[in-house]
Amino acid sequence: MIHFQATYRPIALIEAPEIPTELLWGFGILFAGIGLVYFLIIFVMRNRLSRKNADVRARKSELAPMISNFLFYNPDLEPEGRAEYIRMKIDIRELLKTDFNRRVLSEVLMDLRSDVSGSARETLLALYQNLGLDADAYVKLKSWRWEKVSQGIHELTEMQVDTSYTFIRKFINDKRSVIRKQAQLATVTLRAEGISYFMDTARYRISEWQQLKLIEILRQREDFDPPRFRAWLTSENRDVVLFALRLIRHYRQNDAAQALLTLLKHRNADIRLAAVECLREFRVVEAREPLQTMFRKSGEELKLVILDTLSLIGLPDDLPFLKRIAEKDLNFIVRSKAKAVMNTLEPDSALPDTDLEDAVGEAIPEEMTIADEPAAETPAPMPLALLPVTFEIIANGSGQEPLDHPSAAEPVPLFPPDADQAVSIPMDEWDEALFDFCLRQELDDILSQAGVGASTSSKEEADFLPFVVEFQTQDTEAQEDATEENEVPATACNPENRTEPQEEKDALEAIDCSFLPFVVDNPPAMSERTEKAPKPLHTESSAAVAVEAEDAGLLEPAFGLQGTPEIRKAQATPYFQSTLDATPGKLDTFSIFAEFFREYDTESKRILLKEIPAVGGVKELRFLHSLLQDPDLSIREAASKAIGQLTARLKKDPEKPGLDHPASRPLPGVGFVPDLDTMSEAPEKSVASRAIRLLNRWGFWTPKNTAGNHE
Amino acid sequence: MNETKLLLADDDEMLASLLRYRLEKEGFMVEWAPDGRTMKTSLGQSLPDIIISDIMMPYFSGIEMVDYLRNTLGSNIPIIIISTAGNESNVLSAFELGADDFISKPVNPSELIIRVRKLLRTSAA
Repeated sequence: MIHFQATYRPIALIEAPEIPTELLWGFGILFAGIGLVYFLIIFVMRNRLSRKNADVRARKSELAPMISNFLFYNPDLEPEGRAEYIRMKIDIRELLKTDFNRRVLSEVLMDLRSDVSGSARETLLALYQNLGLDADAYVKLKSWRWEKVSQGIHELTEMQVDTSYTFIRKFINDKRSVIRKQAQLATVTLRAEGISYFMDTARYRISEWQQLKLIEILRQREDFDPPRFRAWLTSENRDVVLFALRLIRHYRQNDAAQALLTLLKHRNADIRLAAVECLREFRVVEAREPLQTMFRKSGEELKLVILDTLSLIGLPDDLPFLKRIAEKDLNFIVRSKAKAVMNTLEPDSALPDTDLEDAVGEAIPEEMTIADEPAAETPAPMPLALLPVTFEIIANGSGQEPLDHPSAAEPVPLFPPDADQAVSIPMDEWDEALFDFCLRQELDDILSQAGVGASTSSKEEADFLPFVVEFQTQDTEAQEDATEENEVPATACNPENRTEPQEEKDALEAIDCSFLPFVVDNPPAMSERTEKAPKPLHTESSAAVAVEAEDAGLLEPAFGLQGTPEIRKAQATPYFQSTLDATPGKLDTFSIFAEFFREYDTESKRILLKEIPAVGGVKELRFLHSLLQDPDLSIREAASKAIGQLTARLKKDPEKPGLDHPASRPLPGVGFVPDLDTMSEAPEKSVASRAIRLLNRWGFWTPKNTAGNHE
Repeated sequence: MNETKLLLADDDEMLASLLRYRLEKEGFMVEWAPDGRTMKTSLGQSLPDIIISDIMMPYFSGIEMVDYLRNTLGSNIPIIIISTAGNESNVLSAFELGADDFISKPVNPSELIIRVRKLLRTSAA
């Protein structure tokens, strides 16, 4: 038995360094100790602060009654309390020997100073100084720490220690900005002349915020008499000049006009801007020309201020200057402002001139005259009589009396009651007379609106009315020539001379007929002369409607054939082929039976073919010939039979075809009277049978009885 | 002589102490509430003759106190509101809820006393 023993010996590619665990433990303990010490320090300091705050609160509560007593004690009113007052004063001086107590008392007085007003505040401020608490603030002024100095300045300012003014104003130009600003505020607050000293001595920048705060202090100052700030317009400190301009405008010291005009030439844009604002504020008229002079080199903001100033002080003489600006300045806002100023100085001096249509301002042509309104005329006398018409509303079989409708209380005349004449007209001519009357009224209204005036509506006066274009008739020779071209040879129409289909087809092709439909009332006799096709509607002279041979496809019906004209011609049915072969001015005849034939079913077609010989004419003959190529055998046989019958009838009486037929009397608007007896024999589901049933139901037709008579 | 009971509600201890001293000197029996909760508790125990309250207080503001007093308790006790500058909207709200007068900080104690006496006269009438 063989045992294999595999020995795995890992090959270490990276050797991990040895970690001194003891060192790690040491670091851990060290940092934990530091953390612990840190937290201990925080805990101790927090406790100390809490204890300190608690002591301060306790001290404040202890001092509060004393302060209140000191504040509200009136020795004149309370003589018996004087002893108490003196005792408290001694006690408090004992307390003030401790710095802690002094600090607390100063804080208390500072807090109360913002909470009380009037006499209480004045007493409080006096108490602050009487207790010697301002000495601590003076000590702070001597500190090297900027926050101490600032705190001292603040405290002396708040408690309005007037004697500290000379000490504080030394800090106006301190290099430390916080102290400098604090001192500036204190200087202006403590004394009225502080503002003058400040503006005389300020060498550093004065921010706009600082300027606003100073103005606020001056504004709250009671009985403040401001100095003439124009004296500082010549200061070397740019901010002092700006501050002076601001103060001038605030206090409305308008006696510095000349200085302001001079400042328009200052290099600094802010100063120029402030000067212009002052000039605008004071409405200095003399500044018009200097402002116009400095306008070109000014920025956008200054330009707008200048324009605004000119709107207040400008004169109409400045309009050319403003107009130049409105036209040439590159800035849109400045141009708009200039136009506004122009309109302010002189209304409507700057009008809109862009995006205007050319039609505005066109003169009305001379030939266009506006007719005067026609004078009110009395209406023409009514030719008809007034027929009172009464309306009566009757209930639906309820047996009640007829309802009295308000409108039926009086007879309602058909025409206005101001007719002068009354002419009686027979009732059978009523409709016609009414129609004429209405037409006359309508025409009169139209003419009156057109300015023609009511008249008898002659033809010339009605020229403005739309008219239907009638095709111009040419001379008879041209008509006859056109007619000759459209003549149909009688041999083609005579069934006895009927040729083979191909020869007949060639004969048909040789005929040039007009395309548009027309009706032949009196065709000429077949034996005497050739049949003439009806006069075409279009002649060769109407070239606008001429159709080229290549465009014969346009003559196809709506379901026309596709492809080239040759293909279409080969594929077309005989009827359509005759249409394709049409040439301009020589169009085929049109039969109404063709329209019916297209929509009817087979049975109806056969019935229709039976009726054609009785009422048809030459055009129907052509149509029947076209049906000889129909794929349906029954249709072909019926068409053949109809051709024979029609030809025989036409030969017998060519001038009045179909008039001897009992059904030849045309129906209005139809022109075709079917044989209802024949149609009654049609199958049930055919169109003809349905028509017969409808007519029977309506009472227009009754079936024949056994004797052959209608019931 | 019954002293007029006055409830002074203000979280500023020093101001409240000063006003309290001044009002007691004028003969009022002043009860001080440092916050809204204490004030509400005091109102639940006994109603004073007049209330002087600051608007901004912890737990229960002066406006809520006015609403509580007028709508919940249904009392017509005169109420003077102490407001700070720029707090006109709260003052108007207090007036809408039923406050009788207001005085802005810094408070003039003499003026406050005059207003208190006037309201007491009006309410007594």
